[in-house]
Amino acid sequence: MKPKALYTADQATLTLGETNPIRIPGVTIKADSVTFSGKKKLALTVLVSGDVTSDVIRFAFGKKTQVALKVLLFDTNAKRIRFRYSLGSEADVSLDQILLTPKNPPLTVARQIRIQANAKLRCLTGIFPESSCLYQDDIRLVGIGAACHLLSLGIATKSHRIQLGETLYHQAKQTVSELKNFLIATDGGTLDCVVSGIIQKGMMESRCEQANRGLLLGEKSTISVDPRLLIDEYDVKASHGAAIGRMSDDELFYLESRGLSEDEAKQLIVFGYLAPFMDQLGDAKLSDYLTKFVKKQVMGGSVDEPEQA
Amino acid sequence: MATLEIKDLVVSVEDTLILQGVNLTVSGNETHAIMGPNGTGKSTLAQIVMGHPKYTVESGDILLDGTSILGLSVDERSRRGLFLAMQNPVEVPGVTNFDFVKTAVSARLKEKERLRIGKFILQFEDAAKALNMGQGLSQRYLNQGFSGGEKKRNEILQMSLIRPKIAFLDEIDSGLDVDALKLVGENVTKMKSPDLGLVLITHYERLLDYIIPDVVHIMIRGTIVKTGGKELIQKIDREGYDWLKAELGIDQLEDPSKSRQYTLGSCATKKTISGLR
Repeated sequence: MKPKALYTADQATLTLGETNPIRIPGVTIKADSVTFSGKKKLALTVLVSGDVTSDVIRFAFGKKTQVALKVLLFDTNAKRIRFRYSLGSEADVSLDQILLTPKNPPLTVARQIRIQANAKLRCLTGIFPESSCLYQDDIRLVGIGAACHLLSLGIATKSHRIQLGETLYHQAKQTVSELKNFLIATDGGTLDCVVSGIIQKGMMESRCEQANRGLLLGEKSTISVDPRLLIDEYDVKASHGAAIGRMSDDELFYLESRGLSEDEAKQLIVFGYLAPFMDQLGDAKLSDYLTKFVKKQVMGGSVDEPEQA
Repeated sequence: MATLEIKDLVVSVEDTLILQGVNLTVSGNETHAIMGPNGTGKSTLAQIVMGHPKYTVESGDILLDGTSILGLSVDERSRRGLFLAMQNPVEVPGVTNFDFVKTAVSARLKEKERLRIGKFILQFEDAAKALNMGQGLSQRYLNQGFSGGEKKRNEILQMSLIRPKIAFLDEIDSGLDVDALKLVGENVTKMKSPDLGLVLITHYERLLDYIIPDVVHIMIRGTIVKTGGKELIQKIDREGYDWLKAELGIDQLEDPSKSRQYTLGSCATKKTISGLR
């Protein structure tokens, strides 16, 4: 079963790079770009798969647009994919971007996101490659009151290495960035994460918060997190932190003391770790598929065929 | 009626003897209280019975209904009917209270049995109401953000739904205010039956005002030194434990061979300072 089977071409789904016969009012679709406009709430799922020939895939959200966008990188053979997201002023965008690739050569994903005045971005990023991967975010809060809330989940398995780089630039006053990373490394997987929050001089009343959690499963797996704050302004709030560790014996003992086997206890802890991401995904079918995928990757379980759309 | 027998149990952790020959028999319909100063092995005893992997049993045995459980894993002991209400219940983010208890109860079902979810939801709600735990408990993450009192009440809630044969309640009174203590006491007392044997581990008399023990044990230096009735509770409340020194012919209640470990904060070095107390 390929994850692509989760989605079929319907009114809210398109495949970039292919002929897309669908027409959605307020959405202009081209081979390598999607533009949103108008005041109506819009929802769209974009599937990026196969050979990606475009150098850059662009998403533009017009002023005051309200969009729920899913970008699914499934089954792609590309070695490098670049995305540009541009949020116009007062845009309200919910972006779920999931990378779920089969065994491939190392893949690089680079995202540039620009957020104008009083625009708001809520972004969920799932990074589940079955190969090594470099994932880079360059996020710029360029307008007064721009805000972004990022929650990312990355899972490195089987001696693969994921490098996650996230840089947030506060380039206007009263800008907000909240970033949470949940990282799991298993089976000798490596996850290296560098998170930088940069508040330039004069960008008063801005807030930059980072929280990173890493869960190590397996003796040879490693996670490193380098949380950085580069602040050149006094009137700001900022915090950062990272907590990385294995499952604690006390946690396992507690769960086992209620009759759960060691495997059940570990599974419960891992699924609990995934919960903040899955709860926010808001797509039961995708959440169910990803949970089973993670179970297979992390716990050695099986992935059942999901019901077709 | 279940019976737990602890026979001449000697236990060590990191080459230090913690329990030095404990004997205790608890049967259904009995309530035992184990009292004693800090660091004498009361909580350790409960954790060893439950099978905590950090301890090594040097000699002796633990039998449940006549069969040794020393070779059993923690979860197997639990499914055989042992329960430990913990002093510091751990927080498990992302796992809802309801899912956890449901999983725990399901783990006890026989091969072809299935949990009747509708009935279980009602049981869960009734148990939460009886412990005054408020709405929304089921969907809160396990112990996360719970107050000290809520954590303890949650332990009792789990116990009431899991229905163990022998339950250790380790300092279940700490973190509870007077009203909550009374509520917990009433709930535990209601559970008393020929199918449940209770072991209460506590420092204070006040818990034992609400859960009346049949037998009181005093533990000093990793062994039970005195067993009696409720009169022992009053004596301890009145005089502390110092009167035992003369009776036992010892100068101090703590084992002088043990040096305490002091943790100097999470960023500092953990180090043993001999003789410091």
